[in-house]
Amino acid sequence: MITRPSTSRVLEDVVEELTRDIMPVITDPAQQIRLHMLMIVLNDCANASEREISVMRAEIPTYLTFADDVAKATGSAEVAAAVAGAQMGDSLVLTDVIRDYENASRAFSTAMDLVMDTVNRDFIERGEALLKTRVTNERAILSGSSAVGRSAS
Amino acid sequence: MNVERFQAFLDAVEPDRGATVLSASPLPGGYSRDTVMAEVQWADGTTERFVLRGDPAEEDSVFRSDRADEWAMLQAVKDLPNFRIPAPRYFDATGEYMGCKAIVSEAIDSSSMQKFLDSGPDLDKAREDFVAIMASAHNTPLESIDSSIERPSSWIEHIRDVIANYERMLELIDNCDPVLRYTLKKIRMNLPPEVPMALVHGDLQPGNFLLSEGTDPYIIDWEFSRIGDPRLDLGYYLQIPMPPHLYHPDPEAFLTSYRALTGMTEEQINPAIAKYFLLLGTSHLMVDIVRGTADVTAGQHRGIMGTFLMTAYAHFNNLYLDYSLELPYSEVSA
Repeated sequence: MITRPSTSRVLEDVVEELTRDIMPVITDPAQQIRLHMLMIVLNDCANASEREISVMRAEIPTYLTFADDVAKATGSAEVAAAVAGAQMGDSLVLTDVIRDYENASRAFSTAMDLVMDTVNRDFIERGEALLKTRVTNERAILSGSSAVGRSAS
Repeated sequence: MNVERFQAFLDAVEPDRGATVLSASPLPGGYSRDTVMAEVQWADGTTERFVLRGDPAEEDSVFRSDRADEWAMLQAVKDLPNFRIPAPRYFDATGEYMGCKAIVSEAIDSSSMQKFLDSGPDLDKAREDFVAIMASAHNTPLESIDSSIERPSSWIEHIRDVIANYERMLELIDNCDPVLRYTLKKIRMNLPPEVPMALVHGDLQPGNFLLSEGTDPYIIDWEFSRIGDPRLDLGYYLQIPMPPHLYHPDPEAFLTSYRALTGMTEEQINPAIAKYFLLLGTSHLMVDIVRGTADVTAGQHRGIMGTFLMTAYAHFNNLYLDYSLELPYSEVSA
C-alpha cells in the first residue's frame, strides 16, 4: 500500500540506514562529506514530499487574488492578462501544481512590479507579506535539517 | 588529477629536474574546484608540496569559473607588495596532462584564519587583522596589475553588469521567482555612491586567509577575482555562516577600521550599504546556484552540488528578501 510507509517516511528511513550503517564505515573524509550532503538532500525531499503540494496550493490563490486586486484598482491590462493566464486547475498531480504555482508567481510579480513602480504603499505592504510567507515556506521545506514531516505513517 | 597524471605533467614541464610524485591526495571541502595536495621529490633529493586546483567534470559541477582567468590573475598579483599568495608554479592550460585545466601552486605550511578563529582568540584583534588583510587587497594600485586583466569601462557599467546577475537568474527560471524579482527592483532603486574601482577577490573570508609563522598572511582561492567595486567583498563576507563572525557583532567598529585603511567615506560605506552589497556580492554565486537547479530540473546531472544547493537557494532567497525589505522605495532606477 502506497501510504504505509509514506514517501517521507521511506526517505527518513533511508537516511537512518545511511547514518547508522553506511557512514561509520566510510573512512575517506571527502566521501563522508558527500554522503552527509546527500542525507541533507534526502531530508529536504522528505519535507517536500509531505507538504510541497499543499504549500503551493495554499499560496496560489493568495498570489492571484493580490494580482486581481491590483489589476482592478489600477486598470492595468498587463496585470489582468497575467491573472487570466494563471488560473489554478483542479489537478493535484505535482507537475500540474508546479505549473500553476509558477504561473501564479509570474502574475504576482507582474502586479508587484507595478505597485513598486508607483510606490502604492497599501499594495506593497500586502505584497511584501506574501513574499515573507513564501520564503518562510521555502525555508521550512528546504532547511537542510532533519525531516519535519509527521513520519508516523 | 592523480599521481600518474601529475607525474606526466611534471615530466613535460620540468624534464631536467627528475620529478617523482610521491603522493596526490584530494582535499575535502571545496565547493567549486577539485583540489589535490601532492608531494614531489626532485632528482637532487629535495621535496616540495604542491596544491593542484582543477575543474570538476561539467556534469559534476555547479559553480563556473575559468582556470585561465584565475591563472592570469595569479600571475598579475603574485609579486605585489600588498599581500602574499602561494606562488603559482605551473598551469596545464588545456587539461592535456591533468585531465582538466589545472593550476599548480606551492603548498604553504599554514592554517586558515578560520581555524585560528575557532581557537578562541581576541576577536577585536582578529577583526582588525581581517580588515587589514581585506584592505591590503582593495588598496592594491590598479596600475600595478597587468593590463591584461579586464577593467570595466566605468563604475556604473560595472555595477549594472553585477545587477544584471539578477536578470540572468530570472531568465534561467523563466521569471517565476517573485523574491528575486522584488530584490532586483529594490537594488535598482537604491544605487550606492560610486567608489574607485579596486581588486575584488570574490570569496573573501577567513577560510581563504592562510596564516603562517613569521610571514604575512596569504590570500588564496582567486577564482572569482576581478577588478570592480571593493564593497562586493564586504557584502559577500556578511553572509559567510561560519562563526565567529567578525562583522556582525560590531558593524560600526568593522567599518570604521575599513574606512580608515581604504579612505572611503561614511557615505560610501556604512552598515546599510554593506547590506546592499550582500545582495550584489553574492549574486555571481547565486547565478550558478540557480543555473544548477535549472539544469537538474531539466533532467541534467550536476553532481551532489546540483541538488544540495537547493538548500542554499532557499537560504539566499531568505537573506535577499530580509535585506531588500529594508531598502527604501524610490523612483530612481539603475
